[in-house]
Amino acid sequence: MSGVAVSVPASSGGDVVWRTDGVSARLDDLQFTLGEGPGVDAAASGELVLEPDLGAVPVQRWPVFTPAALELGVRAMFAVPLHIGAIRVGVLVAQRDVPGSMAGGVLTDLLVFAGAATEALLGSVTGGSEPRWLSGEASGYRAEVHQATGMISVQLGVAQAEALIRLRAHAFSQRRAVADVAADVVARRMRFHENKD
Amino acid sequence: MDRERHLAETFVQLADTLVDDFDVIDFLQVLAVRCVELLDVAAAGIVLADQSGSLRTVAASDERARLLELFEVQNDEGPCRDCYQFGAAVVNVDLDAARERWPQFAPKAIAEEFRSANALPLRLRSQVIGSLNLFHADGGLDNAELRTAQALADAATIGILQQRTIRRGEVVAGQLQAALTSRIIIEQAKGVLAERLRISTDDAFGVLRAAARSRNRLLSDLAREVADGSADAAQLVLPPAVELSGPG
Repeated sequence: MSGVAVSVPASSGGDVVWRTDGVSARLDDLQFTLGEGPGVDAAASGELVLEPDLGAVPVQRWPVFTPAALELGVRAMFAVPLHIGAIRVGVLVAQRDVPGSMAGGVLTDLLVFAGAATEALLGSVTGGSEPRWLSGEASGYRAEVHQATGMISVQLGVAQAEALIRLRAHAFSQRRAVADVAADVVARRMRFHENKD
Repeated sequence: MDRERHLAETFVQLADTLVDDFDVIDFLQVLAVRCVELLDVAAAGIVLADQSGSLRTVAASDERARLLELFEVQNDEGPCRDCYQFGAAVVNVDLDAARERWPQFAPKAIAEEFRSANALPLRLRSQVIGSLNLFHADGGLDNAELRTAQALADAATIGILQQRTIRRGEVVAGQLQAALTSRIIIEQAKGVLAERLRISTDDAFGVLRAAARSRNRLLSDLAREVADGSADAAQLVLPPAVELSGPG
């Protein structure tokens, strides 16, 4: 890869939160400004958008973006949505200055990195100095965590993203595993209330 | 109905499903239920490996949390883990005799009154992307049933690879990720429904699926709307709204 950028959705300001040097930031800026490009499509659809040869993309797909990206020397783009189910945390866009598909292993690496970036973005909102995404908690995600997220969203009248953040923040403050708190919520041993942390 | 006819009808039904825009989780759930009927097993479930090699449940013959837990624990150990790791079927393992092999999984499965287990690989050429897990209350699979089970596992693989998310034919990893994301959305929606309707998360799946069917919607699409609040959960237990148009 020539570069990678991670950005949050337009609804949260569309900022690039992490990028490598080079044209990645400029590329992200272009997509955000124009509202078109692989990253925009991946964020909207929740699906991978892999364009191993940007020069071969039909011009009507991203009429303004594609020529501008080619001008920057970008030849291939790979966009991965950073989603946890219905929660949209951001998008990761990798680009390369030569056309060609990724080898299978590279795509897997990119998806693993995307998973870590998703955790990091969500964790950064929960506060606390600990890099939560390194704690290995992500791989312990269970169905109950997602069910509890849905229940808490109704209890607090908030979106899924905030519900998950509140669930994690509560577990963190009580020094309990997220899955354990989630199990309590699903079993209705515990409820979240407004103005309660 | 005799087994051959039932089997034939199952594959016709699955093939029909694949023709149009279809929902992968719904497809896999139907397949899991058919496994129970065709193979005379007590329960069936399908797990997929994510990009880190963690096994995630995507569908089960029923949505009892205690059954789902039996698939989840196999992220660490159990027939699915062995099947995925070694790329080979795990056949007719007696659970009582497997207490040492799977110290966490075996007692949990036995507590659910399962006696033996099978796991068939979801194969894509040389790659294994997940497994079909079958639990038996007694007995196991004979050779003919094993072939049927593997055919159903292969049908599951085909379904996963046929999702509408295919943009370019090269990204299995993307297909797996899409199926796993759909499953997470369904869990989030189950939580919303459980809280709004005061029902258990076990029952919420049935409500969601019945609502999708009666409205002719894809399960994942409706689940997403429930999860993000754009569909009113309370309306889902009512019959679909009738179009009030035309004369009269």
